[in-house]
Amino acid sequence: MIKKLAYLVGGLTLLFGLWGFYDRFAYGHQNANYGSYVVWGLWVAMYLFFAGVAAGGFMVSTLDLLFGVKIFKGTGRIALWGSLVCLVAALISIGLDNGHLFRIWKVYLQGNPFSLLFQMVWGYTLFGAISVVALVLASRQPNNPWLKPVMAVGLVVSFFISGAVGALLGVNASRPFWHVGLFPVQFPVFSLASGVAMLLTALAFFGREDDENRPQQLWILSLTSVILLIVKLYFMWADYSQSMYGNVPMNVQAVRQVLFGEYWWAFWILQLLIGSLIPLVFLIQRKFATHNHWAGWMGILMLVGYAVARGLIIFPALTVPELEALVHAFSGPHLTFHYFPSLMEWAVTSGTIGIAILGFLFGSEKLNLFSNTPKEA
Amino acid sequence: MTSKNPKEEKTAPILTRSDFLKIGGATLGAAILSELVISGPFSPEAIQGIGAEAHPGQGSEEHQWHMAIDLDRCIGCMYCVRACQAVNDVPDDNMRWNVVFPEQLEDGTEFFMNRPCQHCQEAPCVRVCPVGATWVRPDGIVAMDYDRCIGCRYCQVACPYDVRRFNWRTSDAPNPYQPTWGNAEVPRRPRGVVEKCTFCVHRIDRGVEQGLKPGVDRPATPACVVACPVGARIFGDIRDPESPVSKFLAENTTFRLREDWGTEPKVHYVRPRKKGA
Repeated sequence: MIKKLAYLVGGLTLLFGLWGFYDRFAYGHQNANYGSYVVWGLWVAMYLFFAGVAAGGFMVSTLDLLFGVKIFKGTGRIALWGSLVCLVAALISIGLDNGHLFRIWKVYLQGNPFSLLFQMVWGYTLFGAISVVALVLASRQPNNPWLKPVMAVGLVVSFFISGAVGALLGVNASRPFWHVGLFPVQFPVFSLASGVAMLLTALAFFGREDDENRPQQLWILSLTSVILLIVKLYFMWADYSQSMYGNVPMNVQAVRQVLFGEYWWAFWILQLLIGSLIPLVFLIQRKFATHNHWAGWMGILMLVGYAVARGLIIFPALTVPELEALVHAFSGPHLTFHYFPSLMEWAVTSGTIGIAILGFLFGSEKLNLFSNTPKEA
Repeated sequence: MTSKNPKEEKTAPILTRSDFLKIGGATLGAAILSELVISGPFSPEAIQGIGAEAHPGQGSEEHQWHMAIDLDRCIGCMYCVRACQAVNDVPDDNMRWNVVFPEQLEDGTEFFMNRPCQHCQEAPCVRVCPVGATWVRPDGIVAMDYDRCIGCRYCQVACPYDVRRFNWRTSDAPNPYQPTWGNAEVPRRPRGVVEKCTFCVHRIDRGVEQGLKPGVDRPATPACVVACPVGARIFGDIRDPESPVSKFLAENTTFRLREDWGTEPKVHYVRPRKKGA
């Protein structure tokens, strides 16, 4: 039942997305609501989110495929496939955000190695290759001696690519809201939290009913999720309270934008209430945490919360004018400091989500992910 | 003795289908590969390094171009803005490279703030560009290679002065700021790239080549400087003590925007004086 629902959701979101993809390719960025001031919008936020899940998914897969934790036996490939699918979704999202998607080869051949973005493109390439090799080995030759070294290198790379996302934003001194030394430290934690939530959702919804390890797996993943949620909330508190106390105007304005400004509802309702508090309350109770549907839905809520959190990192920093008077200097369709994604932006994101859902479902059947023994190819 | 089947003899092919596919595939592969190596992304021209080394011969260390803007003199007529739009073919107002807007000092003194690209020596936009599509030339001008830009807009995020503009659409509309008797001096940029003020680098390069002095000789001077009716913008080579900008900086107290951020901008401002003082 839940699988049919997932296929339906995946199909519908992709269907809506097709219109967005068409619009994006036919008219470029013309119908997007980000502009010359808020230069990055929903797609960049979703890139951060999907890239986070990809890195986190890999980290979680090492429990089974590198460290051989018995209770997680069989979950490694699920997390790895989820990670790969999310990596593809992240790259679609950021690829479509670029003005010239098909010039991306220039990053490889004409790149500036001192740019964080350059380092990330190379990092993702390496990460993708490692993930594919690891998945092939784990599926076809689970006892291959190369599997563990590959997973070990992948674990290091997954920390690099998630930390680099934090650095990508953090190096911009022009945006005090991002220019926090803790940013590259926070992001691997956020990624791990998203990866755990992804695996929790996948196991709860699609795991084998007769798997005796499943309740214990769900319970451990739920408790880990709760701990990571609390750590994440602490990071947020540290970040916001320091910004407010420090009283640097651009920083304070950005934090106010999140707490009381145009994104207050996203912060208080979506990120805190729906994405954090509700899952926290349910997942600390064993009966809910080990209940397939409850655990699955809480996983979804946490993922929504993490996606919103990414948006609340990107948008507020850019909605604060660098030169105050620019607000009234000149006007035009892409000259505003207010941002809410356009229908086309939502459609593209919807299509990307659809690709991720359907990709995960098709792949999990093809690779026989939810059985204890990998399908022989 | 075996007898040959005439039918078999007749239909025996010189090349089997699989041979044909192999040869065809190999030929196609070789053609694509050679195309990639000769003129595609793997060609020596494509792999050309970054920054100044990818653009040899552009600008010389002998000169360092700086601009001074006397905010006390500026009357907000917008001639500099229009001249920039005409010369650099910027038809859309929302794409303006050179912006002038009303501002106020803490004491209530009203003035017009001018904000072209600051051409930072330590430009944050240059550091973050993943493909080296923007770089600081030896003469200090922050240049753009529109054919190289991938449109990621990271430079816009990094710029502390909001000077960069993303090209949202292909504009084939006539430029309303272009007089009937003149033409734009640079081609219009394509959709999907980031563009910005260049200090009218094409005028400077052409002028230097012709032995003219940018900042003194009008055809070699940025359009905004030439168009200013009150002489609020001064331009020139600070390596030349006799240049207008060197003299101006020696005679006036100036400041640079966000100097404490270490960006080393090349636009200097004279603070507006309190009216009536």
